[in-house]
Amino acid sequence: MTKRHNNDNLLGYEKIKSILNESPDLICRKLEVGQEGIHIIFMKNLIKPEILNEYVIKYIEELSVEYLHYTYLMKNIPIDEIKVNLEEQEIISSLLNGFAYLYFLDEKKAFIVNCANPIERSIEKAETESLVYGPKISFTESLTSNVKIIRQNLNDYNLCTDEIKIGERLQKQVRIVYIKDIANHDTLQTLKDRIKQLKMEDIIDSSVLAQCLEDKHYSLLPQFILTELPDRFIYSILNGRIGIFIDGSPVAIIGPANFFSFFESTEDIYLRWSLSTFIRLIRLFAMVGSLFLTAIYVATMTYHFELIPSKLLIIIGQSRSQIPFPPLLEALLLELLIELLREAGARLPSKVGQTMGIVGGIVIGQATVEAGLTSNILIIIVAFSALGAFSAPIYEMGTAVRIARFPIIILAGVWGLNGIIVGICILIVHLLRLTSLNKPYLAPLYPLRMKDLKYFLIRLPHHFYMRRPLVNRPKDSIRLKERLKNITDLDEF
Amino acid sequence: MKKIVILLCSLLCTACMAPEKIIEMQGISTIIGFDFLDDNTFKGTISLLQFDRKEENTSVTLSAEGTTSKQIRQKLEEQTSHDITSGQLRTILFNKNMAATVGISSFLDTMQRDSSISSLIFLAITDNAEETINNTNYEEYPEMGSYIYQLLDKHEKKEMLVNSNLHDFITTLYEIGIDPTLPIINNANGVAPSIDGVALFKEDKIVGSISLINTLYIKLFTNNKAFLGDITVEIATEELEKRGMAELNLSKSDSYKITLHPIKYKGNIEIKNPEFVHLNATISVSTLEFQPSTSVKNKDSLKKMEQLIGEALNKEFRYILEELKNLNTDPIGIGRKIRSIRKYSHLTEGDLRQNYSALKIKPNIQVEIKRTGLVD
Amino acid sequence: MRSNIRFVNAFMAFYIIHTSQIGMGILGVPRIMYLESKKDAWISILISGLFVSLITWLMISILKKNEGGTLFEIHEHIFGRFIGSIFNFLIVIYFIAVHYSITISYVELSLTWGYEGVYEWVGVLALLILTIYAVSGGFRVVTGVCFLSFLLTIWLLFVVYQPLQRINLTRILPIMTTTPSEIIKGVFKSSYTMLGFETLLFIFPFIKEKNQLHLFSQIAVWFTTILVLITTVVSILFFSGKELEKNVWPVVSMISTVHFPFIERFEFVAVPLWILVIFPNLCITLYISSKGIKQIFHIKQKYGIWLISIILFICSFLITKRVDNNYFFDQVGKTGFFLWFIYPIFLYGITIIKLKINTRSRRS
Repeated sequence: MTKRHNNDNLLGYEKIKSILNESPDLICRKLEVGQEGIHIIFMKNLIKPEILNEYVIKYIEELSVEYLHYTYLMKNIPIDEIKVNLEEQEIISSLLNGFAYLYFLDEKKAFIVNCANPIERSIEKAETESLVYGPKISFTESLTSNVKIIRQNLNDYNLCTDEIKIGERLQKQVRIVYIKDIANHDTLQTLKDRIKQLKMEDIIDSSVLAQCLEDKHYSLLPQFILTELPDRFIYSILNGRIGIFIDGSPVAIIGPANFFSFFESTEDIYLRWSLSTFIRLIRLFAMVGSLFLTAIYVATMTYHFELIPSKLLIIIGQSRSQIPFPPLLEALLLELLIELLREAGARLPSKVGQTMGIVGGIVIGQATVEAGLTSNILIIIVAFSALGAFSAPIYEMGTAVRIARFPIIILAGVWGLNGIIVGICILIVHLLRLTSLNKPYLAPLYPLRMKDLKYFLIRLPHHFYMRRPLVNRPKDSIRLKERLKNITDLDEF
Repeated sequence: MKKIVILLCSLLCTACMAPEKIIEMQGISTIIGFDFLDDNTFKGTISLLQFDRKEENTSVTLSAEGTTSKQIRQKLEEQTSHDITSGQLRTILFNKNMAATVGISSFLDTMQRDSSISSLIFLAITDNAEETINNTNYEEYPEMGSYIYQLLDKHEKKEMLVNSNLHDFITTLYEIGIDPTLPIINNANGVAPSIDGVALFKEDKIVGSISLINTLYIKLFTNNKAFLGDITVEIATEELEKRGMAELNLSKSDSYKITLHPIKYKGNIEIKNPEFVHLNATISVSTLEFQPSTSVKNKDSLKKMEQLIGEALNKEFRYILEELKNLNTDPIGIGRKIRSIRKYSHLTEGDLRQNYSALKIKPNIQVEIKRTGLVD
Repeated sequence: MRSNIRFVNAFMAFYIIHTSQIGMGILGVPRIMYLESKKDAWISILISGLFVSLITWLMISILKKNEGGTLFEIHEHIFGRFIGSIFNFLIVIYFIAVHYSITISYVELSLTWGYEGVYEWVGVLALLILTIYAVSGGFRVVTGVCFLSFLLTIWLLFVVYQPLQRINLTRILPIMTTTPSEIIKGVFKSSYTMLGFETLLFIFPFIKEKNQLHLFSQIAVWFTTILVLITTVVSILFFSGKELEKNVWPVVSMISTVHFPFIERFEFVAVPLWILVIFPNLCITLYISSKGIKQIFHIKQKYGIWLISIILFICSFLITKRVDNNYFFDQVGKTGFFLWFIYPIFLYGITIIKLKINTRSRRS
């Protein structure tokens, strides 16, 4: 009878030990109960000793003998998660995840119980994305607590958190978070298919996953929003987007993204509409400025001095005089310098980093101008474009803008304004060709959806937002059914 | 494959840089002046901006002689280490003599053909272009080119000149039935150059000039929002008495001067027939100054006053028209107006010129005193 | 993957047709028109616009009678595979010529304004790479280019405000002094500028709401007509006759009197910006011609694009002189006139006859 259940999958201590390469952490606690006893096998550092002691060992020892068999224990052991009918692979990976393996020598049966002691950081303030108003908490490295945060804030039975496992060696749990009656089915299916088709040995972080899921891998532009803010995550999901968590990453992925969504911050919702609209436009303007201003300087200095108004001419001419480099080289040097400062500032501890930025910015800038290596006008322009790139609420977009600036500067240095316009054309075509999860990237501008423009370009008072933006193709686009029934005038919104 | 091809093409494209015009390598000319020597030789003078960090020398002037403007340019190039460019050229000065004898259209043609020269560039006439450019009194501006540009720009912006830029001049020159004008710049030792009257052209040659104030009679009919400038009218006292305005209690002076400030105006060329033209205009003015001071209170005397001023203006206008007819130049564009009427649209330039000297023109300026300032 | 993404909304037809009409032509049209019909050029343009509007109506009827499809498919359907292919081939050649005429005239313009000394082929190559990149994205991208280019350049219209300060109304007076024959010649000459509405014949299958297409194409052609009309009238009022006759690009010269406090010479900005204006033209002509190649030889559109691009690039070494160019533009304009102003009338007749024969044969 016992033989019937005894398949090869059930491992003994010795076998496990050999599979785990004689790991010194592997411990086998032998409980002398019943005839031959029970082996409790676990990894020393991965389990929480209190759980194992209190709810497994103590519990078993306090049981009377008649209950000491596999079936009773499996049903009654006071631990939330147990696994039975095990494969060899799963036993090992569970052990490595902090489970304890209970092996009944009498019956040749086994199950495993969860005693895991995951490393968890307490929930803290968001670091990379900071808000003036609004909730400050951020996601952590623990998937469980991330799902907890979302569930707590979005108490909806339609909120689905589908689980997919990825990775060959480094197995990771991925959660796809969406609201069932809002999120578009096709998009969801595309995303799931893509995740399942991933052929990667290891995916360390969500940013890696996001890169692997992109539609166009060669594009400079990010195709998923990465965020560490739960409120942004929830806002996106409520608008029909789909979120992804990955085990061990404090950054969540949101898709499908479109170009303008990288310029919206949740703060836009918290602030009053007039200010948010203004800020949003400022951000777009800053982005455009950041992309093209240095290039325009290079083009003007190299080819089109005719464009400069008389009053500026002498100031600019004097600042450029005796500079040994052509404008293109001058601009590239200074841009690289700024990038270097930024990079050095990011690597250094935060206190030193700030000093570094100021010292670098002021001292080096001043010194280069004094030495006559660059013109002071260019310093202003480069500083402005650096600022502009940082104003993007999503860090990735800022980096994309910073990188995209260089080809445009080179084009400007080669062909002047014509080169800049050629650059704009390439950019336009690229944006048009780009998709995110098969949804057009430039939406709602193209394909044009007038009703959606208020979501991305500007922000109106909240009563205008009766529907969800159509760009994500939500299943159910009406947000406030009751109100919409009564107020037919607002139907167009 | 495709990506490689695109990459290669891009590399090929970027390898072919456009010819550079880096700003500090350019000898940026802001003003150029042409003088007439003799035997078709001209002397060109330019002022080049100098970019110096210490801001000591902001400009340098060069001169060269040659038979065409491009030849002069070539010779000027020899004198400097910079490439002379005209992308920032703002003003062209012509010698008065040259404009009167040779004409300036051949110069303007090359200017117009050259895409680097703006069509808003100013043209002006001066007695000696070289001396004007070499004049070192230019107020707070860095060099002569900037100063003259600002001088002309101020007058242009306030619509005090009839035409002053290349586009206006050429358009008027090519147009049938109207003649262009250009400002005259006066250059004296020790002071900054100033505008001193307007040159009248027949075709592309100067035939005469009128004062800046008198251009108001031209602007009345050519430009509907020009700045006319204040008008001072002189009326003989006996004239006033004759009209029964003795109650004004005039003092004993023999003439009576009024300065008026035009508020708005409307001019209209009315063609009765090709031989007879009315020039109607109404000007609304506010009175600025009475010399000797007086006040006009009742409606009747105001009306009479308006009439008197109108007559005085007409008288002066008639005199100017007579002079224009003598010079056979038509800056008002009467010919153009005649031609715009269907019956006479066949008339050629020659016909119009012939017609012009025999033309009967009746000026009819009416003045309306709208405001009198703070006091009556 | 024949998903929804292939279709575009009917109102996009407005942008496609309008932007494929506006291009290099409008920069020179006032002069060309003035040379023929003098002060009454605007009448020619209005007549031309009316004519274009009628042809648009005719084209829509042809398309509807043939149950959709592009002109290439209609040709094969009406004339059979072989003769249809010959017709299609001619059309492909026409579009290649149009593409080349646009490219080379832009390059010439650009070289005049600040880029003297650059080889023509460099400019042609740069524009070609851009166009290939856009066209290989498919119809959706081409439409997007039309739309965005419209948005990014329509503000140039307001720049006319500054030249408007310098106009003189008497220059257009008296009206109706030219003879009718001159006006008709003007209509003929305006064809190069007005052409582009033929795109309609090739976009029909991609439009989602087919019954609205007519409305939007009419709006597009009238909008173009009005733009051309405004440009011409303002140019006539702005320049004196003799000056207008001499100026190759009167519109650029007109823009050169525009200046802003921060930009002294606006034409140096406007000329590069014009790449954005001609970009839809280039995309659409390349798209249609490569589509034609695909229809005739049954090869992938991708190969068509590359084939045409290579032809165009080789051409850029051959026709570069101003005189040759002018002759070339003239010929393209003339061919376009016959092909798209006259030929649709015949095609309409043939379609009707064909339909009658079909119904009769079905009845018997």
